[in-house]
Amino acid sequence: MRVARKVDAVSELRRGALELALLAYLNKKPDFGGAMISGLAEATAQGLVITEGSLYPALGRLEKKGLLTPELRREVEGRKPRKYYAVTEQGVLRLEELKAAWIPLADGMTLLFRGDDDE
Amino acid sequence: MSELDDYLRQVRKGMRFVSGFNKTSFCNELAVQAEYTGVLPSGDPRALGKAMRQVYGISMFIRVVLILTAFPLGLLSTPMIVAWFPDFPATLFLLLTLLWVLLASYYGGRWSGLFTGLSAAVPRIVGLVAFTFALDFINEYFDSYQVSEGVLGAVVLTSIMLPVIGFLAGGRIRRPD
Repeated sequence: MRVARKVDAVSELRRGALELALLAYLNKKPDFGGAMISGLAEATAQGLVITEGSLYPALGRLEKKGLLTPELRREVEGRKPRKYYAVTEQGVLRLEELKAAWIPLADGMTLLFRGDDDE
Repeated sequence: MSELDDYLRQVRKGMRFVSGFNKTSFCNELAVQAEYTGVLPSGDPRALGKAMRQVYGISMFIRVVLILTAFPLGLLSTPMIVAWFPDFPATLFLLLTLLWVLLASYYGGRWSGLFTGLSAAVPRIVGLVAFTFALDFINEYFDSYQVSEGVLGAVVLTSIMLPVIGFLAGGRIRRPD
């Protein structure tokens, strides 16, 4: 029971961070689902490792809110087009808003945790 | 059947009640992805489907079916029906109606819950009003069917509670992520 609660708390934390991370990542360049998984892991030095199970629902939520827009691109002739996601203007505004809140929060939390491992 | 087909079939199962368009669109995205990378997405496909149902919601058709079906259920849960059919299990139908409203809340969210609850409450209230006006007529044919103020109050209260429960439950029930 305890373990389940811990997992839930971590999931909640990741879920909140994931939407911000996706906006930040896709603001640099539009990308498709599969590439985002490895791209995010690389960009965050393996700090944010996700699966399709959390990625696609997050993309769907952001798309529904109008923060992302999908675009079908055919890169290889004869193959089906792939769905790329790009940040909308509204998404850029939301990203700026969230970033402004996130940076002091993350700095503060890092400061708070400093020395915890030594105890 | 290929592994991918089986995976997508599980995803579609998880997306039960989502519109066909959204199901197909999402499964196509996964299929193209798998085609490019040559590997299946990781994780439980049914859980992924359920999480996507959370995003897309259930189809309008299912919502309408839930709302329309609540109407006869609500009608059959009106206790005054026993004036005509003494052994009729109206309370059982009330429980069924409540379950139906909760089902609508679970799958469709608070607005589906509210409208399904309203659809069930309307025939109950109409039945109550009609019964009040028709009581004299009923008593001519049946053995002085009497309804206490308590029962009348209970009908009004439960009728009002159905849409309220539907609306509140839709926001409170935690569906799988």
